Amino acid sequence: MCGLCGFLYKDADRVGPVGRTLHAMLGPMARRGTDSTGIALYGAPQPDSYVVRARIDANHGTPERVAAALEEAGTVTERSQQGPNMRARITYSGDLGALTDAIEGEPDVEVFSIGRAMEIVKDVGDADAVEAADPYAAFEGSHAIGHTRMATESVVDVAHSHPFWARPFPDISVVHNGHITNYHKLRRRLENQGHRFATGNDSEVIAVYIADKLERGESLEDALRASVADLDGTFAYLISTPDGIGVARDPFALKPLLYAESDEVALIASEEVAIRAVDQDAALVPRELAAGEVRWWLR
Amino acid sequence: MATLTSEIDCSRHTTREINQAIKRAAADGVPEIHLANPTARHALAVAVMQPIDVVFDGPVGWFCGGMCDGARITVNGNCGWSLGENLMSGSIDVHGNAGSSTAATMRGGRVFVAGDTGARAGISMKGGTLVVGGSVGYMSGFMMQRGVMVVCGDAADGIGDSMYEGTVYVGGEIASLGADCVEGELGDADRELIARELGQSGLDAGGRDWKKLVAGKKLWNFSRHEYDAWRGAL
Amino acid sequence: MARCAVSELIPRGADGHVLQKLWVWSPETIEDIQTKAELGRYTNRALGTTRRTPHFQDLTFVPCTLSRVPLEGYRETCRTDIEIGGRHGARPIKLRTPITIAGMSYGALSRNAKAALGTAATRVGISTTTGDGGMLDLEREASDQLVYQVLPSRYGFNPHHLRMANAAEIVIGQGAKPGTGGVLLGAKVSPIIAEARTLPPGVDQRSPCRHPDFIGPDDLQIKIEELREATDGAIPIYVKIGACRVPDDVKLACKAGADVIVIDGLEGGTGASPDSLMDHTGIPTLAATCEAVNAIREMKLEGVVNLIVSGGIRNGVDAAKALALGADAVSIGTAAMIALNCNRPLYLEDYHRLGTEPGACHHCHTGLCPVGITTQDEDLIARLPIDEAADRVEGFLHSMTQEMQMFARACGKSAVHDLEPEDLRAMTIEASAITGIPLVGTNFAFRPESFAAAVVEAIAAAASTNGHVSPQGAHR
Repeated sequence: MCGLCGFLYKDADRVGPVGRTLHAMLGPMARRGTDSTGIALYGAPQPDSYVVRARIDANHGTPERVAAALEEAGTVTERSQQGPNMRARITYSGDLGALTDAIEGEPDVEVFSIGRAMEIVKDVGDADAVEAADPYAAFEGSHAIGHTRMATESVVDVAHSHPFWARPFPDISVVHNGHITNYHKLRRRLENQGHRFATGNDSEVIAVYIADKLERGESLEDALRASVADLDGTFAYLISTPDGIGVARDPFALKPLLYAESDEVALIASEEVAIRAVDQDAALVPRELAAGEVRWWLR
Repeated sequence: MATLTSEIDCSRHTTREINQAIKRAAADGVPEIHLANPTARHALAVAVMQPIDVVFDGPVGWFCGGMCDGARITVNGNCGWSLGENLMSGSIDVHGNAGSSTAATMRGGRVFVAGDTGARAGISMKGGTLVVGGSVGYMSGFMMQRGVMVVCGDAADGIGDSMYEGTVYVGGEIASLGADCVEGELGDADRELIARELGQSGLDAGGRDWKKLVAGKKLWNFSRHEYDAWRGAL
Repeated sequence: MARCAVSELIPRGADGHVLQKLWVWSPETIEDIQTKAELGRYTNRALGTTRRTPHFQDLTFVPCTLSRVPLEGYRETCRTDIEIGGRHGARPIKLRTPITIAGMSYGALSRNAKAALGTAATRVGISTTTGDGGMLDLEREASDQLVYQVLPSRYGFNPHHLRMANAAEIVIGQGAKPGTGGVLLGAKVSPIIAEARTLPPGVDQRSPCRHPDFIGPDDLQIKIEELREATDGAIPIYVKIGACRVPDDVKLACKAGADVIVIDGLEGGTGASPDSLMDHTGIPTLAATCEAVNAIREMKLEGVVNLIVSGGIRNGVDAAKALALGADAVSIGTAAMIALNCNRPLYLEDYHRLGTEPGACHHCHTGLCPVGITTQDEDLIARLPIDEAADRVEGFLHSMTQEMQMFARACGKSAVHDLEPEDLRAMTIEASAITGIPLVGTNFAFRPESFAAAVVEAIAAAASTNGHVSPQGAHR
C-alpha cells in the first residue's frame, strides 16, 4: 500500500522544476510507506535518442560490460554512474526489447526505464534517501509521477518498487496503490500475447495492460476506462505517457486519490497534505476522484 | 480568561502538541481556539470531549473531529477521509469538500459539508445528522442504522444500501438506489426537517425535487423467498 | 455406560450385511444438504472447526535428562510474567502469567459471564477483552486490565470507554471467519442488545467485513495515529488478525505501527459463523505462530512488537509450546468459556431441547445456553452466579500456569519465556515441515531449506570422496 503523486504543466511548451515538486509531494506521504520511493520524470524529449536508466548491483567489470553492450547497440552520447545507478543516452533505432536484454545480459543489472524523455529513479528508503542516493530534485521537465511504498505481498527491494516501466514501450510507466486480485489471470493473457514482465509485482500488469492498448491505437481515455472494468481488486493508479498523465480509481472507491488543477498545472495525490506541500493557494480545491472515475491530462 | 481566544500555528507543533493544546484549552474553559496552517494534517481535534469552538484556517487531513463529544469544529478548507467518525455530540462544519467515509459511524451531533463528499458518506451512521451542500459519492449511507442525512446535490450509485433505520433525503439526481433502499413518502414533517437543517447552514431548500429514502426492510430478516434480495447481501 | 456385544460394534443392516458409509456422501453431508435445501441459505453454528488440524498436539517436549539439568518444582523459581505493548511508550499491559482472555462480546455472552471472566482475570493478574458490542460497566469494574476492541461494526463503540480502557485492539478479522462479516440471527438480538447496537430488535444482524473509516494497511497507519491522539498516547494499540497470509499481514501491522499483534488461527472460536467459513478459511494456529514469529524477526522487531496467539489453545501445554515457538503470550476464548461451565453436564433437558448433548453443544447462536453463558435470558443467566464462575476460571488459569512452569522447569528454564524451539520435537512430518522442528527419531526438519541443505552437503561430501554420492551419504 502506498502514497501516489503526480504533477503536470498543461502548456506543451512549459517546463519547470518537476523534480523538486515531486520531492516535496512525496515527503508528507512517507507515513503511507517508506520501504521504497520512486519517481518517473519527463525531461525534454530527444527525437533521435533514448535515455536509459539502469541499476547495476555488481562490480568487477559489470559497469564496463554494460557500457560495452550499449556501445555495441548504438551510439552512446552520455553516460554517468551514481553508485549503482547508471544513466545513459543512446542513439538507437532497433527494438527496445532487444536493447533491454542486451543491457540485462549481465547478472544483477536491471533496466529501470528507456524513453525519449522519461527517466525513472527509485530506491529503498524515503524521498530524502533516494535523493541522496541518486539526486533527482534538480530535474527540470514537463511532468512526473511518484510513489512511496509500503510493501504488501511482494518483496522489499528496488526491483519491486514503483514506478514500473511498461517495458519495452518507451516513456510509459505506472504507480499504483492497492492490490490487483486477478493479476495472474491478466498476466497470463498478456504473456500469451507476447508481453514480458520483469517482476512478480501485481502493479506491473497495469503498465503492460495500458501500454498494450496504446500500442493498438486506443486512446488513453479508452484504455483507462477499459482498465476499470478489467482490473479486479483495489486500485488508484497514475499512468504516465510522453504526452501526459492518466488516472483511474476502482469502482468501489477503496483507495484514495485526489486531484487539483488550475489553468497552468494539474496535481494528483493520495492525500491533500501532498498537494498542500507545493501549493497553498486556497483557490486550488482538490477533489476526490469518484468510484470508477478516470481522468487524463495531455499537454 | 473566558473571553480569551487562543491561537496556534500548526506548522510549529507536532500533532500531539496541537491536540493536547486544544484539550487543555477546552478543560480551562477557553471558548475558542484558532489553528493556522493545518496543511491537511491527520488526526486533528480528535476526542475533544468538552465544549469549545475549534476553527481551522486551512485544510485538514483524515479523521478530523473523530470521536468528539461536545466540541464545535469549523474547517475553512477541505478535509480528508472519515471526518467526525463516531461523533458523539457537538458539530463539525467543513467549508470545502470532504473525502470518503464522512461521518462514518456517527452517533450524535451534526456534521455539515458545504461542498461534495467522497464515497461512503454516512457509512454505518448510528445517530445524528449529516448535511451535505453538494453531492455524495458511491455507496453513501451504507449500512446506516439510525440518523438523518440531507444531500442537496446528487447521490452516486448505491445510496442507502443495506440500511436499517436511517433516513436519507436527496435533492438532486440519484444514480441508483442501494440494496433494499426504497423511496418513502415525503410529508410535511420531512419538509420542515429539510428546511430547518439547510437553514441552519445558510442554504436554501427550495427549487429541489426532494426524495426521501428508507430501508425496504427486505434484508432485515432472512427470507428464503426473497432470493434476489439476499443473493447479493449474503 | 451402555454395554454392547463385539458383534454390535460394526453397524449392520436388518439383513445382517455391514452398513457402508460413503466418505463423500457421509451422513453429515447428507444432513447438511437437506438442511440447506429447507433453509435456502448456508448454515450457521458456534464455537469452532470440526477439522483435525496440524496442532500443538503434534509436538512433544524433550526435557532435560543427562545432557541438561532440570529445575525443581515449587522451590526453584520459574517466572511467568511479561509486560506487553510498550513499543511506542504507552503504559504496558502487565501479565502475571502469559495468558489473556480473548474478545467475546457482551451480547454473545451474558453479563454474568463477562463479569466472571473479569473477576478471574483480576485475581490472576491478566487482561480481558471487550467484544463486538462495546464495554459493559460490570466488566470494567471487574477487570483491572481491559482491552477495548475496535471492530468493523463499531456496535456500542464509545470513545469515553476507549479512554477508560487499558489498551485498544483494532480487529481486522478473527480466525474462525477471516475476511467476512457474517450474520447473527435475530433470536439473540434482544431489546437490550438491539439498543446497545443501535439496531431494530429481532433483525438478522449483518456485520460489515471492513471498517467504516479506513480500508488498507496504509490507511490503518493513520487510524492508529487517530487512536493514539484520542487516548493521548497512553495505551498500547493492538492489531488482531485472522491467520491467512500471516507473514504479509504481520509485517504490514508492524509497519502500520501496532504495539501488539494478535494472530487468531483457524481453530479460533466464535459466537456464530457460517459452518463452511469455520472449516475452510484461515490456517492453523500452529502454522500461524511460526510464520508470525519469523515475520517479526525479519522486521527486526523481536521483543519490540509483542505477539499473542489464539485459536484452539486448550491448556498450559499448548501455551508452553506456543511460547517455545516464540509467542509472547496466548489468548483463550473457548477454553475460558468451558471453564465457566460451557458443555458441562448440567440441565440436561435443556441441552436435549436444543437437539444436542453436553460434550457436543455448539449452539451459542441460539441464545439458549443451558448454563447461562451465551444467552440474554434472565432465567438462564441466573444459572451462572458470578463468584462461583470466577472461581472456576481462576482455577483453570492457575492450572495453565502450573503446566507451563512444569514444562519449563523440566527443560531447565527458570522462566517460561526461555522455552525455545530446541526444546521441542515434532511427532509428524507435517508438524515438522510447518514448524521447522526436527521429526522425532531424526535430526531433520522437513522443510525445503533442510532438503536443499542436505543435497548441497551430500554433493560436497561426494566431491571430497571421488565423486560418489552414496545413498548412505545422502542421509543426515
